[in-house]
Amino acid sequence: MNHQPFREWLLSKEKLSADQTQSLQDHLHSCDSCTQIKASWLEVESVFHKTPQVIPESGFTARWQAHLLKYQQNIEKRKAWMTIGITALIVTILVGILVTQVWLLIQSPGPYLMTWFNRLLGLVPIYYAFQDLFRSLLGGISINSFVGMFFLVGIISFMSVLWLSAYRKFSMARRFA
Amino acid sequence: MNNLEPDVLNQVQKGSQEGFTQLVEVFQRPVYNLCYRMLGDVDEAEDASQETFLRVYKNIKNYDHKRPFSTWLLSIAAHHCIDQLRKRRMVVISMDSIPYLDPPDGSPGPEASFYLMENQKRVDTLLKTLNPHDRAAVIMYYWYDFSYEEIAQSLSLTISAVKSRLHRARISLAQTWQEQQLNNFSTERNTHESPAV
Repeated sequence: MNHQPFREWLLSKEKLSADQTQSLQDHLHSCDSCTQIKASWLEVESVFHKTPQVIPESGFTARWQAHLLKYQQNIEKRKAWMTIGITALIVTILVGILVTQVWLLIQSPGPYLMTWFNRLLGLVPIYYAFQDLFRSLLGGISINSFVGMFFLVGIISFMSVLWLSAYRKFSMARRFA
Repeated sequence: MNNLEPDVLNQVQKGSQEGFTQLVEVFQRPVYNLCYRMLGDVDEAEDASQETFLRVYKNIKNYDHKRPFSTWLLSIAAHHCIDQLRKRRMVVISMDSIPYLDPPDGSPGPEASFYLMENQKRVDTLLKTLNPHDRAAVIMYYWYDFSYEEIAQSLSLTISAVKSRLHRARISLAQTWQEQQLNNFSTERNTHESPAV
């Protein structure tokens, strides 16, 4: 026997038309399976309605606060380990470079020092080239005063950011007393 | 379901710890009930509820005020429970752990308590036969009076998918109920029948 669409109507919460209700009643008279499903479903629904909400054991909020504190501590710990890791990596790279340079210096100090001296001399033409470029771009302002201004503005900006972040840090309410 | 004042929600979104504690106080019951109905175990429900609030804490800034807060919160709880159910799949949960019930008429007598416990076990057994999404839809419909739209929004489904899932779940629950009744009947008959000599 085909139980559709009667099963759908039987379990649906939507309102049926008079014709639909009539044909459903006719079907139920001749179909034991659908009648049993209807009866069982009504019992299930009744049990659902009689079953109240379950509640957590007392002290849920306190346990939540402890859970949150643990989570925040873990975050802090992870941040600290990350900072230590990055610092260690940078230090390792710097020490590696230093050791290489010292090793070269120990092996052959004369040629090494000469190489560095030549490199420094190589910077002089670059400096003059920049000076010419700035003179043509900015008119009378020399590269020295421009670099001086650049560093001055840089230092002022850096100090402002530092001051603002320090102010924000100290003025913010602490999460845990 | 209890609702939180919009001011408190605004405070919580600005990072107020006190506001969040208030939020936990207000919503601990519905969240725990949903987790228990989904997972069927007291300890797992406790862990899932705690995890739900932690997820809410981490994502509170993404909450959109156009949506009811309870729908958003229970959607997080339901998704977490569905993930947990998918993870555990074959793990059998003990039925011995019975949760604290919130009876509608204060303190019931021993008979009423027994009746409540029996109903509780029946509901647990019935719900466990459903797949996680169908289970969540049934719980939201019968314990939280969510509309089809709200269930669809919470479970990231379409309204027609919710309707068909609820229909499928109802048939499955009715059939399981029938089977249980038949099993109970045959067990009782076997107990009362005297052995043939």
